[in-house]
Parts: sequence; structure tokens; C-alpha cells
Amino acid sequence: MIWKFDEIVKILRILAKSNYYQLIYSQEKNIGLRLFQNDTDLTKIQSEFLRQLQFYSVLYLDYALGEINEKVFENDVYEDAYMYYKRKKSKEEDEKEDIKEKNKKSKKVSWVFARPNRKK
Amino acid sequence: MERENETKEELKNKEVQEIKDKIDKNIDIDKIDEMIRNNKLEFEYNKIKYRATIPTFKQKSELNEKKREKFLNLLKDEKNMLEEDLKKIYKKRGIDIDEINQKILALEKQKSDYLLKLGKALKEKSSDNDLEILKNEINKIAGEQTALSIQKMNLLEFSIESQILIYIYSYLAYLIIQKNIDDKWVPAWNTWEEFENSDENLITKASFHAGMVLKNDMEI
Repeated sequence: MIWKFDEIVKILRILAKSNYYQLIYSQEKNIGLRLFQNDTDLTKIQSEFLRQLQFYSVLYLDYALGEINEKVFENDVYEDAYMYYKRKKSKEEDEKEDIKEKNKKSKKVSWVFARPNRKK
Repeated sequence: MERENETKEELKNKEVQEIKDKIDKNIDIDKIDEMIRNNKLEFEYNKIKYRATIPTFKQKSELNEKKREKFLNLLKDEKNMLEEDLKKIYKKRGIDIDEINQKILALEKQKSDYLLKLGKALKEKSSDNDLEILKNEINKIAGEQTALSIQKMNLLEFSIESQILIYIYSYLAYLIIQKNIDDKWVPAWNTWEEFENSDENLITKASFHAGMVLKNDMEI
């Protein structure tokens, strides 16, 4: 079962990458184009397809913004590698932001509870 | 000695390729496209239409009960072995499954490191040659991982856990697959025995479609 699902994911990627499905995905909320005939009870295959659609949507957006060139779309390995790098970078930046926020807060706290200097 | 190792390597690669080829034949892109559109998965076999439906609460309960029954029955017979028992036997014969797991994990770490390097190279729009070298490394590691996973799967094929997994997917298929007779959907099989005596190819197709209709693997 696991083997077969892996093979299906490869096909889902091809479909999710296609202009046809990317268009439906991007317009789904705007003009109500429907991706699936059912609204609820998504199957495993449908959930995985949604994940792939989002993956390629981000990739196409980065391409449109000039972050990457078309070379990335040459094969699955390049696509996965770029997205892996992007996620890692974004996680690192989030962590840095968190530390900054924590430092800011701890400084504020020390100011609030600072003991006033006694008058001599 | 070197030549002998080469032959073993070739055989391993051949085995991996054979499994991949076998899978490819069962799946076509149009079918998957159709499967995405709705949550009723249909297929045809010997000119009869079949479909997999989402299991009801009652069907899930029945499946769970059968899983428990099967597990206890297999466990009663001392000839059947759990994965842990098999691991101990293999270890005595010089095959360490935990070591295989460790190797798979180490390869995963290596692959992640290369993915990161390749991702950075792509972002920095590095030369085609640099990208190609990193890609080949990743593919090589992925190939080694696949070979090890197949080796592990084959070694544990007869464990109680593997038998249970095959059984529950088959039982799920028996429960939720329907066939179209005179424009009416009826259960494809009336009894489990009838299912067990069906054409093997139909059982494979049915089990595959039954697995696809689930929301996730945790459902069974």
C-alpha cells in the first residue's frame, strides 16, 4: 500500500503542477471554481492533492517574484530542494524573531519592576 | 570478490526496478485525475463497474473487531512471529534490522543536508553542473534508502504485523467495495469466503481503491 501511494503522489505532483489545476486552485475562493465535487469527507488522495497544489502555488509565486529561475521546475529533486531550503530559512528567521521578541519583553519587565533609587 | 559484490548490487537494483515497473502498470494518470474529483472511486474489472465508498462507522467498528480477532488468532499460534521475535532470529543469523533502520535514518540526514545545499544553490542560481552534481548525490542516497527499505520489508514480510496489515486492507475492500448490477450498486461480495475465492487481480485492485478512499492511515 505504501509503495503504491508513493507512485500516486508522483502523478498528483504532475497534475498539481499543471496550469489547469493551478488556475482552479487560485480562483477557487475568488470566483467559486470548484476543485472537488464533494465539499466534505476528503479522501487521502484529495488531501494529498491539496498539499501538492499549495506546494506548486508557492513555487510559482516565487518564480513570478524572480526569487528563482525556471531551472527549479526541471525535476522533482530541484523543486523539493528549493522548498526544503525555503522552509528551513523561514523557520530560522521565525526563531530569530521569537528570540528578539523575548528579549524585548524581558527588558520591559525589568524596567517595570526596577527598584527606584533611594534618595541619599 | 569485487565482481561478486557488483553482481549482488545489480540484482538488488533489478529487484527495485521490477517492483517499480509492477506498480507503474497498475496506475494511469487519467484514472488518478478522475479519483481526485470526487470521493467515490470507481474502477472497471471484467466489464463490471466497481466503486469504493467511504466506510461507515459500523463498517469501521466491524473492521476493528476483525483486526483484534485476527491478531489474537495469529498470536495464539507459536509458529507466528512478531516483528521483535523475527528481529532476534535475524540477529542470530547476522542480519541486524535495527542497524538497517539506523542506516535508513543516517541516509535521511545525509539527504536533508544535500537538499539544503541544492536548495541554496538553486536560490543563488548556481551553474547547471553544480546543480547536477548535488542532484545525483541525492538520487544516489534515495536509491540506497529504497533498497534498504525493500530489504527490511522483505525480511519482515511474514511478521504478524505485516499479516495484519494485508488482512485489514483486504477486509476493508470486502466491506466497502460495491459493484454495479443493472444500474444498482450492491455489495461486490456477499461473504468473506466469496471475497477470498475471487480473482486475485480483482482483490488487488479492490484493496488498492479501498485504501485510497480513506482519509488517512490512522482510520484503520
